[in-house]
Amino acid sequence: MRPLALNRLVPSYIKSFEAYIPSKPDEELKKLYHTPFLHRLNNNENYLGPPPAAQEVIKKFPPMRASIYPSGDSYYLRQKLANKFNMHPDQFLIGNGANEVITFVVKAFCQKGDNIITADKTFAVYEWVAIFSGFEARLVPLRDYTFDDEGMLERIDKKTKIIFICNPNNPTGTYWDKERIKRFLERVDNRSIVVVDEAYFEFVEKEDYPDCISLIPEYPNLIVFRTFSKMYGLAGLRIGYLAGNLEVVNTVRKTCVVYSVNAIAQEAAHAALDDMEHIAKTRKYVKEGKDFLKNELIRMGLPYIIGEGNYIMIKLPINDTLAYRKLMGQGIMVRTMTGFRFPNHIRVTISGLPIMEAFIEGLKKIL
Amino acid sequence: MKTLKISTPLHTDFLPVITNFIENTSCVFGIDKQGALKLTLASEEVFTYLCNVIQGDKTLDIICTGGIYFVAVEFSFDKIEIDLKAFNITATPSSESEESFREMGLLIAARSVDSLSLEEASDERLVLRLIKEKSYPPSGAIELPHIPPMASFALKVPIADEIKMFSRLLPVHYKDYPFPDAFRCPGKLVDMVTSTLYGISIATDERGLIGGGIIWKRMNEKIVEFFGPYLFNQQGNNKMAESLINACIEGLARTEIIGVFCRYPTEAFPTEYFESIGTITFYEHQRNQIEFPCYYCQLHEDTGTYVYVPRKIASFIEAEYKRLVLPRQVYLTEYSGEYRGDYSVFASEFDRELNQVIIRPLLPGEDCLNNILKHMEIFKKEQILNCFFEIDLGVVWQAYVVDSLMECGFKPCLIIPYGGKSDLVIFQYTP
Repeated sequence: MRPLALNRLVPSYIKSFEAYIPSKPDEELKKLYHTPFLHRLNNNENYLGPPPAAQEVIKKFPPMRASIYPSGDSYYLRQKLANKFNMHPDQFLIGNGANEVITFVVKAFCQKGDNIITADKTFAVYEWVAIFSGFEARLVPLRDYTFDDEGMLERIDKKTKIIFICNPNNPTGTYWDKERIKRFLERVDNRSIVVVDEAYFEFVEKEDYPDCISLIPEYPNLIVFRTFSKMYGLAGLRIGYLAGNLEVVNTVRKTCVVYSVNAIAQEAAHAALDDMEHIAKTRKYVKEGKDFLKNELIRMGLPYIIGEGNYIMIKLPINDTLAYRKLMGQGIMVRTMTGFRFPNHIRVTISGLPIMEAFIEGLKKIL
Repeated sequence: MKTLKISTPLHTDFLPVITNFIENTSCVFGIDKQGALKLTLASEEVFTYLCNVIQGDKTLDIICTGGIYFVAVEFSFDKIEIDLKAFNITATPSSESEESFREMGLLIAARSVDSLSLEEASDERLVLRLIKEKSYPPSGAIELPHIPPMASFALKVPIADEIKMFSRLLPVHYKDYPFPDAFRCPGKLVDMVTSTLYGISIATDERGLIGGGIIWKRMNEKIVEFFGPYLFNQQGNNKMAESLINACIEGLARTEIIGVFCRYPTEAFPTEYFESIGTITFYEHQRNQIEFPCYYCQLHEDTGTYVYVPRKIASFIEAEYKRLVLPRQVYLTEYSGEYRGDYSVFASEFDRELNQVIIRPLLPGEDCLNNILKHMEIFKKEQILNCFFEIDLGVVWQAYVVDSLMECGFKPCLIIPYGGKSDLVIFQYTP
């Protein structure tokens, strides 16, 4: 047999793309860093876990049902979302985490020579999916830590198929208000699809923060992403969704992998949606955690960037990857921000007060 | 970069085809006639050598790459036990035997080009790479502008004329400072940046005057070495230095690059972005010596790796891992008499301006100690004072070179995390 000609088989944009290496399982990390425990403050997970009703679903899931395929298109969950938002069930697509729906949208609209536009310092997956699919990712620098609407509008051309806006932005926590979103959509004028990623929607209490799902009837080119991984504490089950104009979602559906969302995830998400108390409790601990951290960081003289969402970004007087390793040695795992193009910054998930206290103690030890 | 490839049976009948291919391709790729002939000569010697030592019905892939400021020829062949000891810079024919003359040819090849390297492309294939760089005219006498201190500046990726100006300003403002010789050559620096193997960012004021800059290049697939930040009449402008470093790091974030490394930091270097990974002593001919703390910045979260550590440097390595909090699975190892061939092979990379040589082990061999001693004799004769030897702790046989290295006067001076298959230890010779 001739040798495998990988060089010929692999497209150049895949060759030059670096695979994302996720962190090792907790047990392995504990061994590596010689720590008996690990506080995960790196992925913006919910300290309270899933809402009680979702926990019940998970506990009571009959093991025998594991042998049966789930609903291929998350039928009941889409019904529930439709009722909640007063829309048609087919205006929703459920994915194996929001990352999967990003891939659906890019596949549905981009072809050779096309480009997407997003910010340089935001959630990396929009940029990654575009690049490893062979499309250009046009990155517009943030302005005052916020998505730059004028800068993005200037970069649009006939080949721009999708504009991704992370609202509030991960990791800076800044957001566009309703007026700014609407003004942007008017000026895009249906030339491209505009995706507003609202992964942290449920954390935001500001009155001028827009609910973009409510804007869908007005703007057919608008697609909104939401997730059950953050507020609803179902990150381990991987489930997220998109909402949009019926015709647009029907187009995206053509690229959608059916059966990719497992049965427990669908049912837990279904149960989670009703729990307003969980949202209130989560918002309460996030506010307490933010207040505590702000006071402590001011005392320590450390600059920070804090906005909406359950995270804070801190500028350190040392290299962020070194800080990561030193904190790991104390059982605290944060997110280094060099990968987000913020050298010397770490992003910390807001957690319960005892854990926030442990984090501050750890930080004091390493600086 | 453009490439042309041919696959040829390993038989000397095909030599004219190979030489025509290399010579013509080199010329098309922009190298001057003399350079093309030297590269052709080196390639002819390598091909002839491989025809002689590789038996049977084998095929050789030859890839010629035009890298704008250089042309590379790669010979890709099955890994077999062939004697490559003549690729040592120290090699001389030992007798007038036929084998010695073959080796003489390889020696000619090694000395006709700017760089020669041997790498394992896979478990079965080796790649032998020859690189010949283009010739460029030296920097002409041009009056340089006065650079005032800049309160405000903007960062940019320079156009060709700005790169040339940067190249002219650099030796004037950093006269007594070590940096690669190629940076003094304006045309070459432009081509190096165009090739994308080097990156550059500069800071300019509203009139377009250059207040400073930073240059970086890939050491390998995972590590970038950067030079600077260089500031021209901007002493104390920490903001400019920090912005230049940020530009470099942000440009490399979300790529396969794991770390950035600086061997000769300037006074403007913002240390808070980096970790100190050791110290290099830079020796000058007047016997002056300057200590340079070396800095490293990891761009990815460290998920741990393994290392093979020889006992002789175990305490140094373990102390450094503890200081740098690097999660490593350490396997202590030592040579136990297993077969390793008669002759070791080292590649030597020279930088005459820095009076520096970096040696990298390519193949293990029983003559390791003698081979290092012979190398050191040559460097002494050539009055090269800054000698470094790199050991990859991810390659077990390289750990066995350490005993000989230390016997010859080398000492470990720094660790570059993920600088090789795993961490790279740099040894320095004290003259």
